[in-house]
Amino acid sequence: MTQEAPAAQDLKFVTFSLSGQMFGIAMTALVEIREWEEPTPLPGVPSYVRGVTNLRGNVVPVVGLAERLGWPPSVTHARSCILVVNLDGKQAGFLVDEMNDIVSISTADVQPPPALDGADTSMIYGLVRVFDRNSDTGTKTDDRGVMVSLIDVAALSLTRDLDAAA
Amino acid sequence: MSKRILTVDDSASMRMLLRVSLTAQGYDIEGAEDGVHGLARMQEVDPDLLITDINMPHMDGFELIEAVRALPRFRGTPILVLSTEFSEEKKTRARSAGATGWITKPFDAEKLGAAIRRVCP
Amino acid sequence: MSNNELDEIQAIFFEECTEGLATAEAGLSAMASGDASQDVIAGVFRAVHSIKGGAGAFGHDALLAFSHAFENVLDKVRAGDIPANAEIGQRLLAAFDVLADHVNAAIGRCDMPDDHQARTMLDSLLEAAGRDAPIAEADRTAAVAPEADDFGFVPVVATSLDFDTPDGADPDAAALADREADDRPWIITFSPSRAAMANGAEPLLLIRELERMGASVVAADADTLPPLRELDPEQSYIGWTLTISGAVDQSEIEECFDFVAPDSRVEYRRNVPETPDRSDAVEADPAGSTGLHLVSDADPAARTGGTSTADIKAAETASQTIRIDVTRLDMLLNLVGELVIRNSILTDRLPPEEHEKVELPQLGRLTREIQDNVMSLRAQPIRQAFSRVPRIVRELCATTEKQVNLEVQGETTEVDKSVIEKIGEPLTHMIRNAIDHGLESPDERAAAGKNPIGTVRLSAEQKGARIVIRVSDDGRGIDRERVRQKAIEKGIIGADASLSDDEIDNLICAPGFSTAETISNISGRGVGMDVVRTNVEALGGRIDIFSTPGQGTSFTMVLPLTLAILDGMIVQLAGQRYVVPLSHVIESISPQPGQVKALSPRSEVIDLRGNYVPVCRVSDLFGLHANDRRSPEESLVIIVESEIAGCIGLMVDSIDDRRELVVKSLDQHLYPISGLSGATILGDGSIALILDIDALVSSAQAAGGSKFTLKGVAA
Repeated sequence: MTQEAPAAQDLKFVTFSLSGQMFGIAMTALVEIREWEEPTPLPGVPSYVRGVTNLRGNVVPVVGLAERLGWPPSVTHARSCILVVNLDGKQAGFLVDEMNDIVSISTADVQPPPALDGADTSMIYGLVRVFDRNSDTGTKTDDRGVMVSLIDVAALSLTRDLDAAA
Repeated sequence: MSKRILTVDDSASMRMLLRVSLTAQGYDIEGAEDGVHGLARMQEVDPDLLITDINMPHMDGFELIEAVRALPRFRGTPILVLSTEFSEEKKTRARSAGATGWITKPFDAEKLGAAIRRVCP
Repeated sequence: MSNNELDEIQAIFFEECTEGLATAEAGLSAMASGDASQDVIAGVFRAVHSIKGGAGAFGHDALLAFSHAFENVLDKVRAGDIPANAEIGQRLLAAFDVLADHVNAAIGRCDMPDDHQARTMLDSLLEAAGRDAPIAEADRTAAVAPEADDFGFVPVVATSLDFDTPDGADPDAAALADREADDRPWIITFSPSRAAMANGAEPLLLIRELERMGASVVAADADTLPPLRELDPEQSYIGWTLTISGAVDQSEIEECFDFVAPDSRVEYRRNVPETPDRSDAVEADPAGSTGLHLVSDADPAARTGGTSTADIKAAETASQTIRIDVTRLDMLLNLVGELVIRNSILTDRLPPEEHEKVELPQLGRLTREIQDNVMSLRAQPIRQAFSRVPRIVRELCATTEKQVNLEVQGETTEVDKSVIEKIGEPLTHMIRNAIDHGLESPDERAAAGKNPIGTVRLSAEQKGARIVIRVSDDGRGIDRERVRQKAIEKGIIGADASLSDDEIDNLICAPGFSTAETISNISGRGVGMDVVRTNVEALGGRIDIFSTPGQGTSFTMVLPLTLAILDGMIVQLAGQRYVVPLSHVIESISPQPGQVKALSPRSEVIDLRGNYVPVCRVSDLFGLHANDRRSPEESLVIIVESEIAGCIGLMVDSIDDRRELVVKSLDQHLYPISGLSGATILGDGSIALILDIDALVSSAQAAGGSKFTLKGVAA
């Protein structure tokens, strides 16, 4: 067998918009996509934990992903939905503004996020350019495609320590 | 049809060991966890061979053998006794209770098979 | 056998060891307190015996050797050669601890223990018993050997077996070596006794076994065959002569004849020279062999006593075990929980006259039975977690030179399996704390006018949907000044902080506060009470501390029965629904004007037949800003009682319903949240949060407690 550089892999991502930006989450982490439904609020949790909802008999937290990433909270509307994600065995729903597409991304095309002053990019593991197939999504598309921030699913885990610090 | 063996031992792991070793040799294995259950299972299972431990709660192996032998239908059923050691005294005791033979624990599958074939066609 | 299978069986063996150790420990403890029946001793013997058996089967040689030595001593205790008194019990408990270590080493939980001291002790016990007993085991066998026993049997004796020949003749080593090198064919003569077919034996099988080894029958001796009418088909009359290759080992041939009836004649010799060697022949006196089956038919009936076959069958079915992944049980339990709830919803929806119809109560009863059964699958007595405690106490007594009387209560309380698995460590820690920090030395105790023997109480009880486990001691109580100083040193509190006694006591559980190194000499234990608290909270539980200077300290773990079904009252509050566990509810009241009085803008009390009970609005406790702050007259006050902090009134908007609910833990997908003991899914699919009354009452009192005292107002 010949020695090769790590092969570029094609990975599937689901893309969605949040505060006018495009984000992507690996399909492998996705459990399901649900329509937005107001969750039951919880006491004594950080504001981005919007509450808990009933997911097929499981009591699952719902997180405002915009707030979690440091953006202003999403205003929910008819196309708002919840991405249910598997976080190391636990499930959590994340509120996003709108679903966009499922795209195939080659790992070779992913760039690390640039270090920006004052911006918390710890939950973004890479940036990638995606050429939009449907142009009526309201995000700006030109022939250079649209930039998608890929979210590091592991960084989304909800722990009490993290929340206590938040 | 494969031969049926009833194993009576209060230790589940010992019963499992017997079951696994003997199933691999083509026997059908039933289990019971002490003498009292063993006696009841004997009558349900009607095995071709009984293998019993000696030290068990409620009814020990010797008592079980005597009780089994007292039932006319089991007069001719071979019975092997399992124990960690067999002094001559113990062998005599086993035989006078009605045992056909004995197996020393721990057993290896081959010796076990040979002992069984010695008493069970 | 595959390794997988073997591992699996070994796992079962380890479980049996754990059970066996528990039995042995209980029995030896009884003996140590001078109270051991013959049955108890037999149980201890069997437990150790089984451990030994498995140890041999799975190749745990050190465990085998130690359990063997232990078993020998127990055998003497059983036989009465060693007295089953308190002193022996104490010594055997010490050996038991080493045995437990050996088991743990076999499991791989710890290193191999140094058992030298324990072995010496066991050996000396055995030796002392041997001196006292008239004949040691080996001597007894030898003495009996030449004589026929009650059944007229004489043991089969062959020199190749590992014991002394009766006449004391040593097998000639040179001759033995000579034989091994020999390849002259064997000639075997085998004349089964008349009774050779007794006990289900079949001499023909021996012939077949020899044939499989390559033997061939060269002659059959039918001389003793009687005339047909005298022939008893159950007796054996024929003898055989076989030859087999000289390459076959003598021991293999001997093995074939291992089970042969005692008065059979077996000879094997090399075909040349012709002289049969005495040591090569296996023979026994043909003494009364026919007495073998003189056991009466009535005998087994007497043995089984009144037990019917049906009973035995039922017990047998129950005792067979299968291993099931706990997650599958959980799934089943969840489904059954839903079934219970649907059932109660169905009942609610039907008009009352329908309730009396046969089907509904039947369905309800069936559902309940399924639920009880499924719940019981996961429930186990807390004894399993408590079983480690006596040993910890013994060890700590030795290291601290304190004297402790351990009292255990409620061992049979059944708890979910997951709770048992996880409370071990917190429990150990609390016990260590109680003995190490709580109890004074015997001298100190005597000086304080106390019994020099300290008492540590360990108890478990179920209270509604919670399990309360308490460790209390009658020691010196928490040294609050010292705790306070230490908390200041560690920067946990400011130097000028004014704290209540309870608050100081609770500092013990504050992160970063570990009194272990400073207040006691048992250091190096690593973790402090903060870790205990974290563990308990991870179980959805809570820990409460109560201490009285000079009189003792108690630590109370309040744990949920995970996955439990709860009787709950569903209440409305600011548009949300919450569940108040019924076990905490005393009454609900529609306040009359003036019955609820404000003491301050944030604290209110309700006049309850002359007693003033603090009232709190759940919305305030949770920091929910209800838009409509209702007047008390438009609200309901539910009086709830907390085990630890007395009564309070919870002000809610309305009561919706009362029904059974499946408790879903919040930490399954999130983490435990203070003030909530979980959540439940209501019939319409929405979620209601379950209030943790104990925690709410505590925090309400912490918030309002300093502003008024209940008694002061009432007086």
